[in-house]
Amino acid sequence: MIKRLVVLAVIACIPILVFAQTAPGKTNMFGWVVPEKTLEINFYQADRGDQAQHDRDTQQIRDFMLKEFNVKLVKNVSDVDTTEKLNLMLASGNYPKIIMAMSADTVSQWAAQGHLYNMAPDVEKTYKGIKSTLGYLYGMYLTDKKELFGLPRGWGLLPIPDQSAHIRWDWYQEMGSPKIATPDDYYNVIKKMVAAHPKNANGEKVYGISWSTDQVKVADLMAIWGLKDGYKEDAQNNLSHWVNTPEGLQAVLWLNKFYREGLMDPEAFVNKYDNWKAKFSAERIVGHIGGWWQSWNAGHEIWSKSPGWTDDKRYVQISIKDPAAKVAYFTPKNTLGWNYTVITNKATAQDRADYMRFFEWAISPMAVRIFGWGVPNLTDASDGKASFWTTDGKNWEFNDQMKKIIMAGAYDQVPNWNLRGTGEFFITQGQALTKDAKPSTVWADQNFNSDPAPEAKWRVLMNKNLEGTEFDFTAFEAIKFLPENVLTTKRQQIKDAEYTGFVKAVQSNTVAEATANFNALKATLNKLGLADLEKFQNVEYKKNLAKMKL
Amino acid sequence: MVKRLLRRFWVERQIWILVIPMLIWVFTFSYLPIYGLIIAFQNFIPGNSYLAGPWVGLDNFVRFFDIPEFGNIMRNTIAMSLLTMAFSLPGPIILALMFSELRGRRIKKFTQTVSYIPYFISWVVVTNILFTFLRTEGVFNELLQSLGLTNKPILFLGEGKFYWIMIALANLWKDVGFNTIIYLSAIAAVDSELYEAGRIDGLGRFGLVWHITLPGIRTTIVLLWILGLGGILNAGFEQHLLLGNPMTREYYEVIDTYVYRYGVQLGNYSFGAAVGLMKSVLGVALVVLVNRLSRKILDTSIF
Amino acid sequence: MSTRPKATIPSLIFDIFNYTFMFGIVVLFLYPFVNLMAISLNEGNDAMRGGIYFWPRKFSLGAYELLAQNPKMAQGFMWSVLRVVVGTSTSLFVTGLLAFVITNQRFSGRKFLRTLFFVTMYFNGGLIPTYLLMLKLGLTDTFLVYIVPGLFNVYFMLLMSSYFQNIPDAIFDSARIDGASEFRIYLRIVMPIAVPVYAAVSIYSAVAHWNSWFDVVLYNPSGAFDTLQVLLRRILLEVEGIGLIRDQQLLYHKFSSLTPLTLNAATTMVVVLPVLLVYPFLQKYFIGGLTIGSVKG
Repeated sequence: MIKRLVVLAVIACIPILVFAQTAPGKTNMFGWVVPEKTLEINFYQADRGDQAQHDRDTQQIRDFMLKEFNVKLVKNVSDVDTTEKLNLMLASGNYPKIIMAMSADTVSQWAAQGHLYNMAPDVEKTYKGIKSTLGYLYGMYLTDKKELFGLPRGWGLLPIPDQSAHIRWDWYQEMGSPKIATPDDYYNVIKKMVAAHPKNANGEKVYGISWSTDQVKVADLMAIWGLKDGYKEDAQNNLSHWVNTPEGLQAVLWLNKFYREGLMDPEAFVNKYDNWKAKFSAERIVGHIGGWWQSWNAGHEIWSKSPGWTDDKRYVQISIKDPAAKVAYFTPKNTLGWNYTVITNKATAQDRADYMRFFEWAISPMAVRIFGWGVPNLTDASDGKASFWTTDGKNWEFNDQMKKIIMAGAYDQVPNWNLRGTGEFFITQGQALTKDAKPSTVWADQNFNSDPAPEAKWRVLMNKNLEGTEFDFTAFEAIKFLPENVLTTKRQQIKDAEYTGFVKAVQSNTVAEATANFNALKATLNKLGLADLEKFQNVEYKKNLAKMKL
Repeated sequence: MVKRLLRRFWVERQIWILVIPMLIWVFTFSYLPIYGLIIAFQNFIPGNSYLAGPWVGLDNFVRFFDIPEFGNIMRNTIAMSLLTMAFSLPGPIILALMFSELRGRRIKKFTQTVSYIPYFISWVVVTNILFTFLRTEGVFNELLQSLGLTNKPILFLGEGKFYWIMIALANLWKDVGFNTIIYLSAIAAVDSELYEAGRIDGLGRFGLVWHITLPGIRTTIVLLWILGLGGILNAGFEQHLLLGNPMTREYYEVIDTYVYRYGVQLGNYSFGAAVGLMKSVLGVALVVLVNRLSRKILDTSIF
Repeated sequence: MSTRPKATIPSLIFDIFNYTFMFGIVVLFLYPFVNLMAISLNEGNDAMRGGIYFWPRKFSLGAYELLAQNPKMAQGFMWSVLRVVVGTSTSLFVTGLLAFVITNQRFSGRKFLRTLFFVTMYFNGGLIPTYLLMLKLGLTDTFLVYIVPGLFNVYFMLLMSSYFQNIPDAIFDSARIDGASEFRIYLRIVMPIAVPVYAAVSIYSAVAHWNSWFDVVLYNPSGAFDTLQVLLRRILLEVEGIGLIRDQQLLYHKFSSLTPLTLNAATTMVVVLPVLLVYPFLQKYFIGGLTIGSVKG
């Protein structure tokens, strides 16, 4: 009798259970339960940007999200200084329910004043997908009181080298591609290359190395001597600033050699990006130490538009390291991500539940692809609307024609490629490889780094050249400098003085002068309180390392 | 007493009717926000009320004097202001006089119109043009070399010693034409009968300028110079962010750029407000002082 | 000054010097404009290589075509013009009235009013308090935010009152005896007499309105009232902030859609050109003002 009653009860409940699951609407093929009422995700994004350009570029993806997901995405950007804008919002109490791209420091500031919603209980009870996808990183975002005020954007390790040394490839081949392993090898090759090509086609002088003022990063250079982001790490995880290491002097003297021998553009520390780009694309600079996209943007992306361009007229990333150094730590990676998405106290309980559900979906592998690569399954290529990829919601494939273009990085061959809105909506997505059957990363062009296709050969080559030069430096990058901390100002003062002093030392006329200038810089920085900064950083660094091991 | 005041009001009622809206406006748009300056005496956090504190007295002011670059910043600010003034105060007067001495209305109109162009071109564009000219391979260096003045190109943009004069000349170039407007209108207002009288007295062309035009526009000149001196701590902002670089930092950092980078960008609004307040007080003090001197010596003042 | 002075030899030498000097000025001041024009008329990718001075190397109207396709440009132009016209005329009218009141020797509140305004030249509340005020007054996201906060300008007040001081009091006194109200005196006597100073100040005011951008981005974030200057600034300053982003992949995606140099130049031309085209007409009134000025005495 009881048994029958139980069975009856169970049978009676089935419709309810089923109904309960589908009540808000049906689940679409991307695993999103489509709400009956349009869900509006209306947010301010704290990036400098142009609203009109954004609206144009995202039309396609916004239409898609509305049609297939019943989600209306509204991103508001503005071109005032974002710190200023956020402070004005805070001061006036006039801010939206969701804010994206908030820096860690700003999140702390807003949270301290009670303007942000603590997501931790929700994430731990209801929206567990967020916690499981973030993995060990999750703990890093919690405050000391185990609160979670922001979800990261662009988190995770994108396993590609960012910074390195570069070499003009066709001229390097012309020289018979001599081996380059040490800084001295690099110097010798650059010197010979300049000797072989002293003037460009317009008769202008060719230099070995140059930068624009925004790109000079002392840390890129120090990496060659095994320093991590400008700091030398000892066995006890103590970090010493480069001016306080013998390697720092060696690096400065090495670069000084370029200067003394006239191989360095005299305006290397004066150029604006546009000036530097003009010199670079006029074939006046044969070497480069810095980010890959710069030589890409100013090099073959311009040259390839002229007739007679050959594929190997380009810059290739190479690794060089001092023989005494273990590894050239060129690329420090911050796996915490760029910044955060927060829900403010303007959101109602219903809003919060809706938003959190969407954020949980947005971190899923398929969402990463949709927001990273744009709308799938469109085939009409004529107006530039053909999709990068096709999918049935479970499996996915790159469109063959698009794949070649993406591999070659030749987007501008596709009309209106930016209309896909790739990378325009970073909500909670990371950059790391997705954790599903067929992993991929959010950047369409970074999925072929070991692809055998000829179009991908440059990426493959460069990744091979730089294997092992990227490293996880999250524990250091996660150190917070809040406005009320006296070290925040000191740190900025040290940075200012460091940069100026570095340039002065590099541009010395003799070795003795360079050494003297280096020592003067060392004295200045230490007088400014470098020791206090190092001490603070070391404590925080070790704390973070411990957190990451959990 | 009250009765007298009221009578005075009644007599002047027509004027007071006009003045009341002005008073409302100035209190609303100028004096209401000034209340916000009290954040200079606290550690203000945006989002808190202006009275929330914590109160720190003069800490924010003292902090500014304590920074290691303080000496450099003050030196740069005042040096560049003075240098700019040395060019930009007489510059427009001379140019305006030369314009007014041009014969032929078309040429006059054309040159005047052309001289305003730089004023409308943003610093971003001006920077690019300066770079093109002053590069080590630029026209200017080539000219110097072909004249045999140097045998090695000079890195104008990367050496501190050139920075001040470069800024002063760039400011002059950008504003001189436009600033002639006020002087031209002052010259136009000089009584033409005075010129006739001058001519009868046998004054030549230069005599007329020296004895009639210049005294005629004296009020305008004094007014503008006094106001200019009050702004001595404003040594420009955007141009330094664009034209300065790590090699010239010791020479380009001025109060405004420092406050922007350390106050606004690092979120220290109180610090920014304190420096701003200090600048204002010094500015007003200077104006009052110069005004008094000018009243004594030149018998002209603005209040 | 309308009659020619006698042609003495020093005078002749001066004329020659003056013309040569003016020629130099024209070259020095016109060049940036010529350079921008050349760049704006060059093909985009080719311009990237630099080295364009006087003529475009590869002629192309591409940048202008791109601008013409942007509906925001026409809209921005409209708001800019509206702002200049409404802003300048209202500001001139009321600031002139203020200047007139504070030059009236018989007005007891003269000094008080002058000082009250003068002080605001040096003290202002700064960004946050001003922003909060605009918000409270409901001026944000309106066109009025361009006009109302700038109604009275102390600098213009000083210039105008220094001009008004030179008008003989006798003219006002006779009008007052005839029973004219102060407002009427301002309208009928002061304004016509003081045309030169109005003309000069109007140019300053109009240019300030034409060039301003900060209040636009700050108070009208919706973009509904974007002026031309804001559109230009947006393009010119895109490169800003490049040092702040560390993620190279993110940078690459930002920079691969960067506005080309030629578009910068073309937009600058669009912003500068109207001023240069309109100015000669303004100058006519300005010169009209000059003649009134010289007849006056």
